[in-house]
Amino acid sequence: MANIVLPAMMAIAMGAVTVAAHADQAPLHAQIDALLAEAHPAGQAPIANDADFLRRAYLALHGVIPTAAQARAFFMDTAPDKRAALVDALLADPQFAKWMAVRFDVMLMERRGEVHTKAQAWREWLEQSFTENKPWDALVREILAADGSDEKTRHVARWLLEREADPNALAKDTGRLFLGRDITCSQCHNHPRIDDYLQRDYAGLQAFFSRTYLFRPDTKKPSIVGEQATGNTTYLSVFTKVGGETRPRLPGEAELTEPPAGEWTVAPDPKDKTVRPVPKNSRRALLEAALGDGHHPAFRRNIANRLWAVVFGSGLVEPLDLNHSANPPSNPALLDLLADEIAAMKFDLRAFVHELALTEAFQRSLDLPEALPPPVAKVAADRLPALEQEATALATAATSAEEDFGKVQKAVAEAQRAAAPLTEEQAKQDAEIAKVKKAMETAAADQKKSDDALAAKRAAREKLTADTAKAEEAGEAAAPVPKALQAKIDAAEKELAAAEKDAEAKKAIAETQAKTLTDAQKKADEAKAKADESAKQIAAQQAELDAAEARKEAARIKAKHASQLAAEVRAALAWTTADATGRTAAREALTTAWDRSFAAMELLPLSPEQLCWSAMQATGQLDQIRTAATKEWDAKNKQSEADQEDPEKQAARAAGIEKLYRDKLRPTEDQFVRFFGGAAGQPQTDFFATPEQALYFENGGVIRGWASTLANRAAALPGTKAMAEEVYLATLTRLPDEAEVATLAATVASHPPEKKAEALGDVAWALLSSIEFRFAH
Amino acid sequence: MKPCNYSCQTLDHVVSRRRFFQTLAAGGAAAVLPNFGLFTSPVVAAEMARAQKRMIVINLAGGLSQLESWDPKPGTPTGGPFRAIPTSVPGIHISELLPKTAKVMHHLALVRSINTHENDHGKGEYLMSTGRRKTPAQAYPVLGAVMACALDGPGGSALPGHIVISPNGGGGRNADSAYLGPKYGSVTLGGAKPPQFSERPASLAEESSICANDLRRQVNDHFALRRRTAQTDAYTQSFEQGLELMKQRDVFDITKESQKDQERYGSHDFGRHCLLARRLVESGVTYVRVTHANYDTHCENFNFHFEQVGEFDGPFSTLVTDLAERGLLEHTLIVVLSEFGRTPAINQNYGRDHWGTAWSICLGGAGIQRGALIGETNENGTAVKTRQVDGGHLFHTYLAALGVKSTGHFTVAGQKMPMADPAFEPIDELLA
Repeated sequence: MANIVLPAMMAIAMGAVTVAAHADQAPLHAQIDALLAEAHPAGQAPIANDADFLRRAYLALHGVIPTAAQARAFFMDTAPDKRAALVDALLADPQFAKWMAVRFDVMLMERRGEVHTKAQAWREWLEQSFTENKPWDALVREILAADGSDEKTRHVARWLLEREADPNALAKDTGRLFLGRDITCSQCHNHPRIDDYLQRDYAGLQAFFSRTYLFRPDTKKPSIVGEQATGNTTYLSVFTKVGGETRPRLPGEAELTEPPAGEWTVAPDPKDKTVRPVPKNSRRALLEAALGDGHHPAFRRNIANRLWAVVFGSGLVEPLDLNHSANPPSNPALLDLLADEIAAMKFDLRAFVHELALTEAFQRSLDLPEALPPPVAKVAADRLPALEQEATALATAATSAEEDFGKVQKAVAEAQRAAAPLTEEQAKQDAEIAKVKKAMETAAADQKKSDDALAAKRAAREKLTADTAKAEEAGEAAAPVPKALQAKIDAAEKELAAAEKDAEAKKAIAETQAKTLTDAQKKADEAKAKADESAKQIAAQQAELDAAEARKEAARIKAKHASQLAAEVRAALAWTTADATGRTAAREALTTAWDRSFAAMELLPLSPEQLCWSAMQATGQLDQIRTAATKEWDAKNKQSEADQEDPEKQAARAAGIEKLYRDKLRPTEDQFVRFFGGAAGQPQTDFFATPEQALYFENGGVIRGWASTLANRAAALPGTKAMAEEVYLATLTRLPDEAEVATLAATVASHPPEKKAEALGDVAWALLSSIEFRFAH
Repeated sequence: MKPCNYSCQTLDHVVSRRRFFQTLAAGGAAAVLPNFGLFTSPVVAAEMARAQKRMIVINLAGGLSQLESWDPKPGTPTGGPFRAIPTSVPGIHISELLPKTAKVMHHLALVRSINTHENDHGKGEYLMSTGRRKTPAQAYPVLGAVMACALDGPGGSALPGHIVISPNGGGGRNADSAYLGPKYGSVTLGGAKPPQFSERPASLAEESSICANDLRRQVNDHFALRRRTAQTDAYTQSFEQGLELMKQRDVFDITKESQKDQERYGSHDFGRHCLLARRLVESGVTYVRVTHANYDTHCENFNFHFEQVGEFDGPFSTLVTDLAERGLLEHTLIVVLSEFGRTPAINQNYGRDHWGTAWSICLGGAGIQRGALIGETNENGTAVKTRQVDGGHLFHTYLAALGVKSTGHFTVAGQKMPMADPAFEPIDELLA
C-alpha cells in the first residue's frame, strides 16, 4: 500500500487534525476523494446536477451523448444510487469497449495512415481486447511482440510497422506512450531543459530497438518486422562530446544482461533474400519482458495518468507525455496512489476506470458554489494565515536555494577558470618533457656515434700496435720504428685522444640531459598533481552543483504549490465575502485553481468522433442508420422462424447488422476527422478551431440536414414547451429554462406557421453549433 | 475592449501547446489586416497592409532544367540548342526562353550553385519544401506553415495564412504543418476556386442563416456567463471568421480584377493562378504557392522546355512587374523553385534526367539583394565551382529575407523546435 506523504503545507493546512487514515479497506474512489479533499481545505465545486453528470458520463465512457429518451428516463429515476448504477450500466455496455478502442487507437496510432497495415482490423482487435478486458500490460506485450508475419494477426503489428520499424521512432513513442516521457530531444544530447531525460536513457531505450528493422525484400509483398542478431548502441553528445555504449536499459535501471548475440533461430539465407532471418535472442523481446511486466514506476504512472485523462478529460500530469520532476502532477500523492493501485489491480483497465467514474471528483460541477458553507469558510479563514506564512517561508527558502545554486555555479565557474592555467602549465611541462626527451635521444645518438668512433679509433690504434709488434718480431734490429709507421701511430694516438675527449663530452651531455629530464619530470609530476587535484575539486563541485540544482527545483515546486494553495484559499474566501469587483477576480482565480486540480470540472472539447456521433445521436441519424442497416441485412439474409429461436443465428444477425451499421457510419466519421482531427502522426489532444470547420457547419449541408430531421420530429409535438424540451433534451441533454422556451417560442412565432420546422431547424442548428454542444462539461 | 474575464491562468490559455512565442520583426507595426476595418483611414490601412511580409512560391514541378533557364551554357557539349540572352542586369545572361523575365531581372537574383545531392522526386521535394532531410522519427512543417506561423499577426484572420493553388482537385486544409498545428496547415484552392463551403448553398436561405447565427450567438453569450475560456473564444471566433470569409469570397475571384490585368497575365491556368496569387497576398494572405507542371523532361527536353518555360515566362514576369508597381515587392518574397535541376548530359531521347548536383533557383523581393548572382557552375555545368549551397541554406535565406531570425525557434509544449535546420545558415551575400 502506498505510503502517502503529504507535502508540508498540507500538513499545516490540516493543523492539529491528523492525516486521514487511508484504510486499506476503503475503495479506491473513496481514497481518491479523500486525497482531493485534503488538498482543498477551502472546499471544492459542488456536485453537478443530473443533466451535467449524465452527459459527461456518456461522453467519457461511451463517446456519445444519450438520446432524449435516455435522458428523460435518467432524470425521472428516483433511485438514490442511480448515478453509480448508470456508471455500471455504461461500463457493461459494448459501446464502452468500442469507445475505448477508438480512444486507445487515437492515442497509440495518432491517426496514422495505412501504408503497411489496415486500420480497421487493428481497431477491431483493440475493441476485442477491451471487450475481454485484457489487462494493459498484456496489451503492451502483444503490441511489442508482434511482427506481422502471420496474415491473420498482422494488424497487431500496426504500432511497429506504421513507424517503419525505425528504432528512433519506436524509442521515442515507447517513451511517450508507455512511459509518459517525451525524450526526443535527448537523442543527440542530454535534454536541454529537462534534467531527468538523459541521453544515456534515450540510448538505453533505443537499444531495445536498435536491431529492429523493416523487412521487405519484395515490395509486392507486405512488410514484416525483422530483427538482426547483432548490433550495439553507442551515443555521443553533440554538445559535450561525452558518450559511451549501452546495452538495453529502462530509465533509472541497470543495463540488462543479454544472452550472446549473433545466434539465429532462422539464419539469413544468402541465396534466398525472401527468407526473414529470426535471431535467437531478440532485444525487442527483452523490452516486452522488461516493460510488459509492469514493474517500472513510469509504466504504472503513465497508464494511471492516461486513464485518468480518459475519464476526466485531462491528466494529473499534463501534457500526458511530459512527466518529469519539473512538471509534477497537480496532486503528487494522488498519482502515487493511482500508480500503485493500478498495478495492484493487475492493470485491469475496466475496474480502474470504474473506480474513477464512481468518485465525487467525477461529479464536480463546472460552476462554483454560491458561497463557501460556513464551517468550510471558518476552517479556511483559520488556516489562511498559516498557509500564507508557509507560502512566504517556502518562497524565501526557494529564493535562498536559488542563491545557493548561483553561488555554487559561480564557484564552479571560478574553479574552472583557475584550473585553466594549471592545465596550461601541465601541458607546458609535458611539452618540455617531450623536448628534453627528444634532446636526450639526440644526445644518446650522438653519444653512440662518438662511442662507435672511439671504438673504431681504439681498434685502429691496436692494429698499429699489433703491426709494430709484428715488425719487431720479424727480427729487425732495434731500428727506430719506420717513420711512416711512427707517424701513423702518432696520428692514431692523437685521434684516439680526440675521440676519447669527444666521448667524454657526449657522455657529459647525456648525463646533463638525463638530469634535465629528471628535473623536468619532477616539475611535470608537480603540475599534474596540481591539475588532478583541481579536477577532482571541480568534479566534487559539479556534484554539489547538481545537488544544489535539485534542491533549487524541489524548493521552487514546493514554494509554488504553497503559494497556489494559499491563493486558492484566499480566492475562495474572497468569493464568499468580497464585493462585486472582488468576487470577479476571485471567481477567476478560484476557477483556475480548481480546474487544474480537479476540484471543479473543466470544459473539454469533444474529439472528432465524439462530435460526429453526438451530432448524429442528437438528430436521430444513428437510429436511422441502424434501421437502414437492419433492413438491408434482413433483405439479404432471410431468416426463418426457426432461425429466430437460434441464438447462434441471432448473434450472427446482430454482428452482421453491426458491421453494416459501422460501414455506413464510417464516411461521416472520416469527414469529421478530416475537419476536426489533428494531422496524422501528431498528438491528437489539442483543440483548434478553423474557419473551415465553421463553414462545414454553416454551408456543408450535413449539420443543417440533420438539424431539420430533428426539427421535423419536434415540430410534430403539441405545444411550444414540448417542442423546446425535445430539441434541448436531444441536443444539450437537458431541459430548457423558461427564457429558452420563450426564445424558441418567439423564433417559431416570427416565422409563418408552415415554416415551423424551418424555425426549429434554425434553433437546432444553433444549439448544435454552440459552445455547450462542442464542449463536455 | 472589455477585459476578458475568463481563466487566464489555465494551461490552455497561457501556454497552449499550439501557442508560440516567436521572435520576429514584421515591419515594426503589428500586422493588421485592412479587412477588419480597425483603421478608418484607407490610406493608413493600405500602408499597414503593405508593411506585412508575404511570400509567393512558384513550384515548377518535375525539375526545371537550369540549362534551359537560369544557367545557360550555349556552345558547350551540354548546352543544348538554345542561346543565352542578356538581361536588365549587366553581366547576367539567362536562357533565350525567358525574354520577358530577362527584362525584369533587376528585381530578382539567381543562385546557381545548388547541390542538394538529391535526385529523387519525393526526397528532393521534401528537402526544398521543409529545408530538412526526411526522418521517420520527426515530421517537419513545410515552408508555408513555417512562414504563416512566423509571420502571423495578432488577432484572427478570416483568410487562411497558408494557401496552395492547385489546377484541379478538391479543397480543404492539409496536414503539412506538423507540430505547428492545423491552424497553419495549407488550404488548397482546388481548380483555383474559393475555399470549400465558402458559398451559401442554394438550399439555405440567407434569412435562415442570419436567424440561426443570431440564435447561436445568443446561446453562446448565455453560456459564457457560466464559463468562458480561450478555447471557447477561439470556437466562437471561428464562426465569425467563416462568415467573414464568405463576405470576402470575391478575393478568390480574379474576374474582379481589371480587364487589363486579366489579359496581361494570360488566360491559361498558370497565368490566372499568378494573378490570383497577387490578389491574395495583396489581401493579406501570408503565403501562396502556385504550381506549374510538366518539367520532368526525360524525353524531348528541348521541345518541352520551349513550351513550358515559354508559358512560364509571361505570367512570371507580369507578376514581378505587378508586385513592383503596387509597391508590394518590397515586402513580398518571390521564389521560383523545383525539386532539382536536370542533367547536363543529354540522353538518347533528347532528354535530360534528374540532377541535384549543380542547379539553380531564381528569387527576389523583400530582403533579397536585387540583381545578385550567387555561385557559379563549371564550364559544362557538371559541378558547382564556387559557393556551393544546400536546400537548408535556401530555407534559412527565405526566413532572413522576410526579417525573421532563421536561427530562432518555435516553442511547442515547452520544447524548442528550431525554425530551420540548425546545421545551416542564411546565404548572407544574397541578403540586402
